[in-house]
Amino acid sequence: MTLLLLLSLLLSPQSGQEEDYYRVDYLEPPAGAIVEVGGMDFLPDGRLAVSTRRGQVWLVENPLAEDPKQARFQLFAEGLQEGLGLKVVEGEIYIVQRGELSRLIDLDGDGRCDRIDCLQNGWGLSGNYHEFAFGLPVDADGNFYVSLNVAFFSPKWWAGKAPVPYRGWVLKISPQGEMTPLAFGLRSPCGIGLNAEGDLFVTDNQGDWMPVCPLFHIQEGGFYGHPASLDWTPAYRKSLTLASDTIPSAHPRRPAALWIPYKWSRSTGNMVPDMTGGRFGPFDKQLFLGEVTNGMVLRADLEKVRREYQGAVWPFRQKVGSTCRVRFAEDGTLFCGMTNRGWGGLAPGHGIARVRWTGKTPLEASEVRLQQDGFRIRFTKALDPSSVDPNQFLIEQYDYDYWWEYGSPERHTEKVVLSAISLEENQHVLRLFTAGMKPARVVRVITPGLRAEDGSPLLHPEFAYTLNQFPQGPLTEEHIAKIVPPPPPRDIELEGWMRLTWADAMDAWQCEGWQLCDAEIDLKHPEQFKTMPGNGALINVGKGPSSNYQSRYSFSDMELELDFMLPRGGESGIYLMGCYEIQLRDQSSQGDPAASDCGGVTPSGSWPGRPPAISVYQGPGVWHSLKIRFEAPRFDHDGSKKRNARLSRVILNDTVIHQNVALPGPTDGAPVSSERPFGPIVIEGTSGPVAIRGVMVKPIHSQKDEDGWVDLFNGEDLDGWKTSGKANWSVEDYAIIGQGDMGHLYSPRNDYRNFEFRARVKINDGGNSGMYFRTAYGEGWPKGYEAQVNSSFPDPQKSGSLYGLAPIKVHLIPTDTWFTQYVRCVEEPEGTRISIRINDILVSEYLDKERRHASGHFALQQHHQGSVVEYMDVQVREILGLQPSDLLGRWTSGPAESRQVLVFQEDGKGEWIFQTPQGSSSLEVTWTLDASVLPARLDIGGIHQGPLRGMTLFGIAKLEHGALFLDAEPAPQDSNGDATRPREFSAETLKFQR
Amino acid sequence: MSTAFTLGTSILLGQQPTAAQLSRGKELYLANCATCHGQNGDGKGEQSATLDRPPRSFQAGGFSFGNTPLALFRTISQGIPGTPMPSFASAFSEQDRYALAHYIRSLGPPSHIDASGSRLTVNQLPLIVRGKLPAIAEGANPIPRGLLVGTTDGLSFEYRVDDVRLLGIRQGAFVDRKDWTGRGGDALQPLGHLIDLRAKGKPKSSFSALGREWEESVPLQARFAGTSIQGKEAFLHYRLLDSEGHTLAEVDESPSGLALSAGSGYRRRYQLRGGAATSSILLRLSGSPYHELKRVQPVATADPEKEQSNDRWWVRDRGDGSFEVLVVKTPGQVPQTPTMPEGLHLMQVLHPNETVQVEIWVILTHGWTEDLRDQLLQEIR
Repeated sequence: MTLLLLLSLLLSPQSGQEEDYYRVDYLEPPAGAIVEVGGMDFLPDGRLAVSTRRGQVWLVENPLAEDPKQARFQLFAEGLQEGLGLKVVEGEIYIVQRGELSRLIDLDGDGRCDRIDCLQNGWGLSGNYHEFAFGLPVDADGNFYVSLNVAFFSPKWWAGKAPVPYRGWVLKISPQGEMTPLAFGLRSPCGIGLNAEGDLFVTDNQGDWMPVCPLFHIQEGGFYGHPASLDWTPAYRKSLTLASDTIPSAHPRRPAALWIPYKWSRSTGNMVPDMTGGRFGPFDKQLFLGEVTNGMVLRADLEKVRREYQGAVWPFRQKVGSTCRVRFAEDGTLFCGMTNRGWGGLAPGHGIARVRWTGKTPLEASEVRLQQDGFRIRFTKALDPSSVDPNQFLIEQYDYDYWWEYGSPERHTEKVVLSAISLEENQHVLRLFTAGMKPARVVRVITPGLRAEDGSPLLHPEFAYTLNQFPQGPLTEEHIAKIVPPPPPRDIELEGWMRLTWADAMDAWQCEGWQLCDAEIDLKHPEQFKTMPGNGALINVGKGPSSNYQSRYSFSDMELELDFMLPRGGESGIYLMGCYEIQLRDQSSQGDPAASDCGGVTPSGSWPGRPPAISVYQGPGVWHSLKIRFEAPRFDHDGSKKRNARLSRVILNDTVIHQNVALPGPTDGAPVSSERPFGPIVIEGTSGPVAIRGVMVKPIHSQKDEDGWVDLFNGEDLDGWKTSGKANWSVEDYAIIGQGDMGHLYSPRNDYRNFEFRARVKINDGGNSGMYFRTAYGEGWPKGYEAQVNSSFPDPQKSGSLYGLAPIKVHLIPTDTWFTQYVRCVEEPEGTRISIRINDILVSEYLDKERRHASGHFALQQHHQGSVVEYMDVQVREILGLQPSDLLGRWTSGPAESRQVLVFQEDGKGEWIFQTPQGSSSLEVTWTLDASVLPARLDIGGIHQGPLRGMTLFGIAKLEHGALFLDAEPAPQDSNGDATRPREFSAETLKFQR
Repeated sequence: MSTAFTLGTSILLGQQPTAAQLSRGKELYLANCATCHGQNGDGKGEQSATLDRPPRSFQAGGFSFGNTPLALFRTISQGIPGTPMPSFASAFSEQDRYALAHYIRSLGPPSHIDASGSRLTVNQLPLIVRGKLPAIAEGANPIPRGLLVGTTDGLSFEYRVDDVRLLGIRQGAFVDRKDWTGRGGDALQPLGHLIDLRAKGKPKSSFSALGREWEESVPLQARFAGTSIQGKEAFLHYRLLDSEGHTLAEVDESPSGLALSAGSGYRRRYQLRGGAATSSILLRLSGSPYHELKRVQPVATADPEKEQSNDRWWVRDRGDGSFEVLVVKTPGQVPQTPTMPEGLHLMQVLHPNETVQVEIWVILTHGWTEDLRDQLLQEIR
């Protein structure tokens, strides 16, 4: 789910109130004219000059007229190649076209442009559609500033490239037309402007290397994070190399003054300071920013902390339209120029809106000043102290990923403790005292419930403060957008693989003392690593002593890949299932290889281990790739081992070093000393430094339990399914395809309660879906549990998450890759137990003690326009009483050998315990419950097969749809009306027939 | 829709003809057009069999360059270069040509005028459109920074801006702004028929500076400085830079259609202003090396009268039944036109701040006869 839901919740209650303070109206262009605004400025005579993406320039007479119909549009110029920036200088109109800075002149004074002078066209155009040029501020010396979009093409449509000069740069162009490339590292810098002090700012758009939309203060020579532009720096040109588009550059990055929360901005336009001297309300000199996607105006208040801008951002006026350009008129009207063609955004998608202050002052947090221990928040009006309830306040901090994936979710979100508050300056200032606030974070502050003394409510109770640095103390070198583990190479076949160290290198692992950084061998102390900020390695030289690096998930048969690097004398190992060790060790024997060499298999008791077939270890400080294909041991029904575990194949640096090695038992010193069907992956981290990276696993399942699955989807049509919302559902090649707007597809039946539910699913880049269960039919977001389907949508809960309850943050599955998501949902005495498997690996397990949803439909989600999800093999296996997977037995021996217990507890809930007889081999049973205990008949038929190991199973007593669940029946009362104490029932109580 | 907002919307040419216009049009048609196009516009006039390209059947609605009254007016005025369809610009008044256009239109089926939202039409003034251009020919490249000059005579001139080179000339409807759809950044779609492709869409530099020897000529870089519309003429402005970045000349170039009764084509008028020092500039007259072509007609005229004019002309068989006549006009001086391995050039000495006019005409005729030559020479003069 459901950033959209959150967004709508946050936005809707305020929107009615904004209109009381800022009203919006719309100019009316001539009938049929599509005015896709790219630039606006005023001529000395008061006319508004407007440039458009269609390469036109319109002059608008009477733009300030009270009645917007009085504004008259006249076409001044046409035939230009876009106009995404316009500025009037000394009465002349300057425009930045896609490939040229131009001056438009009306030679004969007839109101039409008849000469177009080219001031500068010295930047490159490769022809890529996204090579926009944005403008057009002019500084006090008359210099123009232009920002250039990178090209978007490869390998994803949104991946930025700079095939020609100065893509991703800010250019400075003198009044005489001389061009100076000024700063670089930008992606889609749609907004460029000056603040009240005349400093240059650029907004960029989220995408690769831009986690969300930022506001940057541009300084000469500054690098702002997107690597494509590096190719046109002198250093790269001289070196004749190209910057990597997947590995973060070592070039120092400049911080963003703002990282605007995704829910508020997905395509930021330009920004303008309010210099109208109070005609627009109480936000003198603050910045107002256009927002295309959400169609609104944002407000920002910046301060200089440690000589750099940082500050707070708020929504300001919503429901304006796709605002790409903002410009103040002298009378305090904020003109909003709209366009969204091909980009998407709230309607209207073109034209000109005017935002005007009604004269009524809203209660707003007008100014935020960071303190060493919190914030000073100034309000536009005195607060009513009785409305200030710090228990309602929420302060959180978070950061972002800096990588080539499209955007980043908020990462490492944690609450900041609010230790005290005070009201100061006649209740105009709220002082928040916090503990634990960190630099290089964005801090979200929500103060609901505040009212002014005059009773008006706080219009926007939430702001986000970009906290790069504190006013005092050591300067941090960290960035808010942090270097994280690299995503895998983009061109390999990834179906079936799970990426265990992507996005969040710790989420899937238990470990202490490990860190993510770049590492190389320390030449002075080659027994150590030298570490640097980066994402190149996971290494056990963090703070404090290090533990093993152990996966939280358990695996059986699998393919495993990782890279490792050792220092001189390094000693580590990788334990498959925690049990079988392959040596990772800086050792390579002269002559015949030894089992203790790198790649050797450690001895197991009397078994001497196995040396690598060939010595291919390259020595310390070198990354090695290791690929393993492994088969887990097999066990008989009685639990005894039937077959040894096997290394089918081990490949070190592309050389096969083992083939078909049987492993007689746990290797010496293994962290898991008993052999089992499943076990974790463990990297030894306790015997000195080791570096690893890129751990990927592809589970292989040779034993499949395929009995009893029922297709919910017939592979051909959606007969019986019903929809809500506006999604477009179709069937193609045995797959259900969901696309279009938000909507859901509901299974025909609505009484699923205890079941296994699975589907093969594929989600596109940026897409979002979910597999709902126990869900009620209805419009809007379904009410039920959701197993999330999300690979790269900027919601931190990825595939494998039980949405909102058990999040998975690691990017286990790449986009556009089929995988199987499996859900098991059963009632248990303590609550509803829900487990989720990805490719048959258990990744989430959750016990819902609140039993939020009792039963219902299955439903598939299509989350938003642009998302494309495909489902195949949508199947259910209902758990009707005891299932083969519970009993795991084939029973032939008599029922007297088994023992059943029905225990009624003090709270009135019952627990039914069934203990399988040790040593039984098989049994065919039909159960009938005594009507005096439970007033119904229960039949459990069939032959159950599987290992039988004297296990205890339990459930809760209730009969429903023929299934045995004992959770809801009241305990029988004794003659005194008291609940009976737990008591045992004999086998006879639960009668059964042969 | 877009046409409603182009500058200089047509006021002379209403869509609905008057009875008088149709009657006048019919009179002219029967006298001048029917011999080829047929009495009733079926394309089967008495002369039609003698033509190597069949005349259009107006009954079938076949119009080469569009079926709007303006488009027909332009075809009548301009002719179709290199085909038997001559220009009637000098033969009939504007009013008569409008009348003829309306009458011919009435011969065809009820017309549907395609005016989709992103199409631009040239009306009373030239229209210059900047944008990405698709590859003009197979093997040529798309032009990210391109420029189309649409002239009022129905031609459009396709330029690459980066080095100000003319790629080709089209006739007919103007341009569809495909960049008004989708995300932006798509190529324009020029709508006219290509009547002259320059050097297969890969023209060399138009100007070079003369060294001490012919062989030492160095191509000059043309740096775009802007465009303007003056009167009914469109101009490109650019500077010619030597390898050290010095400006040797400033150039105003004005392309337009050219309609003679002997044939029609286009003209490029140049005004060159000298830079800081005197220089000798070579203007490439044709990318095609005339002297290498076997089918070249005798160079220069045998007409002694013509020799007194400063004009020079050449003719070349294009091999498709059409001939290309190249005319150089340099008012007030005799042009020097060296032939070099890379083609035919005009040499122009430019003194500081001196202004020189040069006109290059390219006329495409259908066939080449002595009569045609004499008629042409009359008209050139």
